[in-house]
Amino acid sequence: MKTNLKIKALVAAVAAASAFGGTAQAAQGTDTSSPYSVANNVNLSIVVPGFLFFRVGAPAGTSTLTFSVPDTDIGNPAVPVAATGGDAGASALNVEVRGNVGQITITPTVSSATGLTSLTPGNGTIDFAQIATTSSQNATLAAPALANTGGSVVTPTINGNRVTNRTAVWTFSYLNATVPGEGTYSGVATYTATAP
Amino acid sequence: MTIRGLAGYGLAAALAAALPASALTVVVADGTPEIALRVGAPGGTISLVTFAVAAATAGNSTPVLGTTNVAAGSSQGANFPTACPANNVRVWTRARSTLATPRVATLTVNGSGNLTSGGNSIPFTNFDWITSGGTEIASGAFSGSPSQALLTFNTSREISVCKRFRFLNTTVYPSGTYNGQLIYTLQMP
Amino acid sequence: MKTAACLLAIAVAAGAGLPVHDARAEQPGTDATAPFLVNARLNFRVTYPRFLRFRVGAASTAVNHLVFNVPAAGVGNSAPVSATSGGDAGASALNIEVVGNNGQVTITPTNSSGGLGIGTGNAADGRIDYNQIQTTSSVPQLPPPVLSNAGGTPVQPTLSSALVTQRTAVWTYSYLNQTIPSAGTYGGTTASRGGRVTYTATMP
Repeated sequence: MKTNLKIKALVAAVAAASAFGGTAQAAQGTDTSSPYSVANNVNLSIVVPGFLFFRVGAPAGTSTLTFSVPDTDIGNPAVPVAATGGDAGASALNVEVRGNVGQITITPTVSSATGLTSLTPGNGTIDFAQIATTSSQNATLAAPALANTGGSVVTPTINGNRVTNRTAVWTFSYLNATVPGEGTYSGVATYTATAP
Repeated sequence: MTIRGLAGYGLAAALAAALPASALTVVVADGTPEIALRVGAPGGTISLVTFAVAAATAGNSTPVLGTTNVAAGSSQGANFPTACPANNVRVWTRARSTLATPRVATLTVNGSGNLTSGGNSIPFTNFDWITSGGTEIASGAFSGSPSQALLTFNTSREISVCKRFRFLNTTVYPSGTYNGQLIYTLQMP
Repeated sequence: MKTAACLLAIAVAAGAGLPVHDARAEQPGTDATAPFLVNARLNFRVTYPRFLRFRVGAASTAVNHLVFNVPAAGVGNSAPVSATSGGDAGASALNIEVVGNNGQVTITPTNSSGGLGIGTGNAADGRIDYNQIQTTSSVPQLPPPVLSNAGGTPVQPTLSSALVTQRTAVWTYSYLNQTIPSAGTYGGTTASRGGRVTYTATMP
């Protein structure tokens, strides 16, 4: 049996800021009496636009994780199943989130409210909750838990001021706690990062 | 440049009045060999040209114009009855010889030295002059030569030009009042 | 007539400084004896002030305002950013002149940030450290001060000759973009935001 899970990352971009015009003091001067001292000013502006960058797995396109359950272990929760197709190890994805406009929220959604589905007539579904996810940086960039309703929202920890710059590896496994009918079950999990 | 033959002072005065004051060659009567030279004011006082450098423009290569008094550019005799423009120095030469023995006179200047202020020096090569009108003595700069040729002419003539001196202001110098002296030499073998 | 010989002797003796009036040097001088030679003297005087002159950017009363626009796709990627406007020697560069004639000049940088770095006026945004502003010079003898939140490191332009400094250069600025700051406009013409740099030249 195969379970294909496609991961999409969506990023919502945020808009920019503006610059100034100016008034003046001197940019040159001459001093002819002691103590000899001439001061000149220069004004500096750095315009930093707001941005949000989010990556789950492959830098472009959609990652596909495939869990192949051995015949002898179907329905044995003591034998969770790892996937192939990850970019940080077979069953893991590289995750990056960066932004500078405030608290980022990562929200999972899924392709079907009934779970991963099979094309084989008569087969039921596999609940998205059977896909477990753990993070290598649970304290700062936890992995959302998936569910048929979507899943849990996570808020990566801000690094300072309004800036977030976090990376982690999310590792996926199929919990294998049920006995589905023979077949290939597919679904898409979409992770959406948003910022103020 | 205008060259005129003269019969006497009266005629020369009438002709000279119509001519530019800045530069002119006047043919004079031949006679006993003699030369004469005047640079600056007539009489016994050596003329002084002053250059006042301003702090805001020191060293920016914009020349600083020299200033001097009216006497330094005053008229000279009947042949040069009009004064030079303000702040110009008159350089006037005369060389005479007999008709049978014509000679050649040469005017040179020694600009090989410096103006000095305590232990600091400004070489004369930092100065030039603008001759207003005429080509007898061209505008130019001091070369640093002890005998820089300015003018060569045949007897018997009077030649005079007006010079406005400039400090070229390309190099910055320590503060002070710098003084120096040029020597112009007229010779005839 | 001996006038020519007397004038020649006086000319040889003349040297530095203003010579004493010589009653015998009447002008015009004449010589009627071969070899014919007449000297005439002319004095020059230069009055030279003691001064310090310093220019950073426009040769006027206007203050240059360099604006660095960081591209949204590259915030914090360490690709340096040049200013897109404000310089007088190119958008991201300033004409510099330092001229003085009384000894070694020192150029000391300070800024309006109170040691905190460049801000937006909103404390929650944080600050950009002055170490993200890099300056280079076109002339090694007139190096730019390295800027820091506390002000920076003074420099001493190389003397041109004893007592005299006469140096020009172009200082080119870049934003090093090595950090991710909160979104916003940092610095500018409002001094309290900390983006005003002051270069002070001093001379003994």
